[in-house]
Amino acid sequence: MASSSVAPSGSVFRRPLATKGWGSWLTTVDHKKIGKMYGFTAFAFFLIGGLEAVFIRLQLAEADASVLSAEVYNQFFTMHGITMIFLVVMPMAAAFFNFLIPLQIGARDVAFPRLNAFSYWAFLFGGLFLYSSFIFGGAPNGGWFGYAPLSTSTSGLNMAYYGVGLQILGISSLAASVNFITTILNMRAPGLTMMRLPVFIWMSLVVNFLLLFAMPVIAVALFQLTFDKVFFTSFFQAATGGDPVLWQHLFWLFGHPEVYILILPAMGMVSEILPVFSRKPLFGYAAVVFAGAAIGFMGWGVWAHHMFAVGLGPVANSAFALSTMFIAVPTGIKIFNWVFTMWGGKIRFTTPMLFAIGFVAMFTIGGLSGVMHAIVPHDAQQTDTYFVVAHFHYVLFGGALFGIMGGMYFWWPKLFGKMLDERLGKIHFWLWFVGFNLAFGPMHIAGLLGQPRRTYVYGEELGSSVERWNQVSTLGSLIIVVSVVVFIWNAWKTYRSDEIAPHDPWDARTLEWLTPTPVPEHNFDVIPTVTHRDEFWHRKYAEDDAGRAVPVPAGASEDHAAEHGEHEEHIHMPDPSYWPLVLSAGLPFIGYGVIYKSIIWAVIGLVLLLTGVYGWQLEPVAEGDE
Amino acid sequence: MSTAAHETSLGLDHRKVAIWAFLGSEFLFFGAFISSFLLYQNDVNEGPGVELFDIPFTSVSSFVLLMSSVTMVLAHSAHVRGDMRRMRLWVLATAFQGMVFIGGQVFEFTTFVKEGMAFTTSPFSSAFFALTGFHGAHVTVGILMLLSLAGLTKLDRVKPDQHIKTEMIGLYWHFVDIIWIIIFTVVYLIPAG
Amino acid sequence: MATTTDAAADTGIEPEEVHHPTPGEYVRIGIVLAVLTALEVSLFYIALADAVRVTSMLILMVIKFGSVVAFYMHLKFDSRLFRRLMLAGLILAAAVYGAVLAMFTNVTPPGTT
Repeated sequence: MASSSVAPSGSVFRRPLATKGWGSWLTTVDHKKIGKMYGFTAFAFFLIGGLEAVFIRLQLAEADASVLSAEVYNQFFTMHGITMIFLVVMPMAAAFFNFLIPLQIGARDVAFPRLNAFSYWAFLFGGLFLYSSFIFGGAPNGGWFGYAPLSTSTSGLNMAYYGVGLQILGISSLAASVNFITTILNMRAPGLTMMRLPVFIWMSLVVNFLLLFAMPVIAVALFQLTFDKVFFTSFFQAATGGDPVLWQHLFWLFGHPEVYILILPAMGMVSEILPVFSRKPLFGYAAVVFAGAAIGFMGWGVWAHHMFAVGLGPVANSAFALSTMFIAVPTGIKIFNWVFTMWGGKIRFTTPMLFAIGFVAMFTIGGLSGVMHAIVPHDAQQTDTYFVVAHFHYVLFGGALFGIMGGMYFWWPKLFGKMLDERLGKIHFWLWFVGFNLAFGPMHIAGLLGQPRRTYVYGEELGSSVERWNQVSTLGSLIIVVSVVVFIWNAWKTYRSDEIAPHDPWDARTLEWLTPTPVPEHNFDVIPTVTHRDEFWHRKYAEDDAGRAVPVPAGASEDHAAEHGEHEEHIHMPDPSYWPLVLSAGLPFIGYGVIYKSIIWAVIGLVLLLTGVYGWQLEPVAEGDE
Repeated sequence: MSTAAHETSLGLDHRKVAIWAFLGSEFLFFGAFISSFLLYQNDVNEGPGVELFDIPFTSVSSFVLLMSSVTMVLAHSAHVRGDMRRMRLWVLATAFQGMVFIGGQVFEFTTFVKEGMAFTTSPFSSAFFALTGFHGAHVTVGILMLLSLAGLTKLDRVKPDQHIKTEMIGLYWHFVDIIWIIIFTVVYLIPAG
Repeated sequence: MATTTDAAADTGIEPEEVHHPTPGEYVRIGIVLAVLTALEVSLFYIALADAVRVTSMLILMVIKFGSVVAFYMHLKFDSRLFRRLMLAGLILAAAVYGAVLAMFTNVTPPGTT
C-alpha cells in the first residue's frame, strides 16, 4: 500500500486526512465505507421506485381508473423500471462487491480506491440527474428500454434525460468493472487460487466482465439516441432513412447481458448463504462456477429473443430460440446444486436462509416462464402482455431482490457490527414472500387473458376476472410495502440497540468472517495465507475419521492466533481524496449542457471534470505511486 | 503499489491489467459505431455520399497518425532507458502528429459541411461523423495526456523509473491508432473504391 | 469470458517482458507499416475486381493491426492475460456485430447495407 507523504502545507493538492465525521464520507476511498454509501443510496432509490410501483398498482386496481393521468403513468412506469434496474439492483450488487470482494479475497482494499469513489459519486449524480427531470419538465416516459422511434419522436426532453442519465450511470459501472476485475484477478491472498475463490467472488468476476463488455454497447446506443433527440440526426428515424431496429439490436445486445448482471450477484450471495446454514460445503463447486461463467458467455448469444416480434426471419428466430433454451441448462445446473447443498444438511432456518431458499424457489418459477418465451410462437402471444411483466418480476424481485435481502441479513453483522432481529426478520420474510406472490403471480393469468402492459387503463371489456386478478396484485403490492416497513423498523431497532454482534455469528466459512467486527480500516492485520476453499471453516474445524466436522480448539491454529496478535507496524492505507467527487460532479453539468444545448453548462462541467482529473494526478502519493 | 507488481497474484501491475481490460471493452464501443456506419453507408437521403471522401488527403493524415505510433514507442523505449530528454522529445513529437491528424479532421469536417454533408443530413452522414468524431475525441484525450506527461516529467512528477506511465499512455495511443487502421480501410478505402 | 477461466492458469509469476525490441527494430517496423499503407492506398487506384481489391485491403489492414498490437503494444512479449483481454473484446465485438449486420441483410432489401 502506498505510504502517505507529507505535502507542503497550504498546497491545493494536499490530501484530506479525516477518516471520521460526516466530511470523511465525501472524501473516503475506503471500500467498506463506499460499499455502505452504495447500499444506503440504492435503498433510498428502492423506496422511491417502490412508491412509483404502488401508484401504478393503485391506478390498475380497477378498470378505467383515474388515479394517475396517462402522462404521469408513463413517467412512473418508466422511472420505476429504470430505478429498480439501474439505481437499485445494480448498485446494491455494487455495494456487496465493494464490501465483500476485498474481504473475501484477503485484500486491504480494491485495486484503485479513488476510482472506486469516483464510481460511487458518478452513480449518485447519475441517479440525481435522472430524477431532476421531474423538476425540469418531466421524467423519461418511453419505457425502460426506450424503443425508438417513440423515444426519439415524443415532444419534450424526457427521453433526453434517459439518454444522458443512463450514460452517466454507465460510466460509473464501467469504471467499477475495470476496478473489480483488476482487484479479483490481481489482489488475491497468497494461496487463494481461482478454484478456491468463494462463489460470490466468481459471480462478481463474471458480472464485471459482462459490465465491461456490455456498457460500451449501450453507451453507443445512448449517444445515438441522444443525438436523434437533441440534434435531430436520424439514426433511428425511419422517416429519414434510419432504422429503429438498430436501436433494438444495440439495446438488447447490452440488455440481455444486463439480465445476468442483475441476477448473478444474487446467485453468488445465495451460494454463500446456503452452505453456511446447511453446515455443508457447496455441492458441486466447480459446476456452479463453470455454470456461472457459461451463463456469462452464452448471455451474449441470446439478445434477439427480446425481438421475436420484430420479424427477423425464420433463421434468426430459430437460432435465438435454440440458444435461449440452451442457456437454461447452466441455470438448471445451479438450481440443482443449491438443492443438493441443502440435501442432508443440518439446516438452520434463519432469516438469511429463508430468503435464500425463497430465492431458489421463486427464481425457478421465473426461469421456467423464461423458457416459455424462448418458444417463438408462444412469445408472439405473450409479447407486451402482463405475462412478461410477471416473468421478469419473478427473476428480478423473486431472484435478485430475494438474494440481496438474504445478503443484507447475512452480512449485516459484519457491515454494522450488530445483528438484525431474527423475529422481525422472519415477519419481514413471510410478508415479503406472500406479498410478492400475490402481486406478481396473478399477472401471469391477467397476461394470458390479454391484459397489455404499459397502458394506463385496461378496459372493462377484458372481463371481470382480469380486474379481479389486478385487485389481488394491488393487495400484494401493499403487503410488500408493509414488509419493507418491518425491515426499516428492524434496521432502526438494531441501530438503537447496544448489543454487539460476535465476529462470526453464523459459524460461517469464508475469509470476511476472520476479521474482527467492526472491520478495521486495513481489514487484516496480517494477510491470511489460504490453503483451502472455505478457508475460514477449515481453520475452525478439522475432520474426524468419520468425516464429521470437529472444532479445532481455540488457539490451536497458529495462523488464527497470529492474525489477532500484536502488530507494531502501522499499516498505511490510501489517504482520502476529494478529487473523485469533483471529477464526477462535472458529469451532470455536461449532461445539462448537452440536453439544453447550453455551452455554459457544458463548460462548467468540463472545467470541473478537468480540475478533478488534474487534481487527481497531482495530489501527493496515491495508490498508483511510490 | 506500482513497484510491488511482484506482490500481486499475477505478478502484473494493476494498471496494466486495468488498461487492457478497458481497451478490450473499447472494441465493443467502436465496433458499434463501425457497424452503424456499415449499415447506413448507402442511406444518403439524396445528400452526398462516399464520393465526397478525399482519399489522398485522408491517406496523408492516416499516415501521420500511423507514424505517431512509431514516435510513441520510441518515447517509451527512451523512458525505459531513463533518457528523459529524448523521451520528452518523442512524446511531444507524438502529440504534434496527433494535432496534425486532428487538424486534418477539422479541415475534412468543415469541407464536408460546406459541400452539403452536415451531421444531420442523412443516416450516412450522422453515422460517419459520430464514428470519426468519437475517434477524434479519443485522439484529443490522448494528446492532452501526452502534453501532460511531457509537462510532468519537466516538473519531475513523472520520474525516470516510472516508465509504466508512458507505457500506459502509449497503449492507449496505439489502440486509438489501430482503430484508425480499421476505420481508414473499412470506412474510407473500401466504400469509396 | 474466456479470460476468467484461463486466469487460473496465470497464477504463477511470469517474467514481465522477455524481450524488448530495440529502437532500431521499432523504426524498421514503422517503415514496414508505411510501405503497407502505401500499398493499400495504391490498391485504391489500381483497376481490380472488387472482390480482389477488398480482400487485399482487408488483409493489409489485418497485418498492420497485428503488427502494431504485437510489437508496439508488446502483446507478443507480454502476459497472456493481456492477450486474452484484448482478444475477448475483439472477438466478441466481431461476433455480435457481425450477427447484427447479417440479420439486417436478411430483412432489408438488397443494396441497403
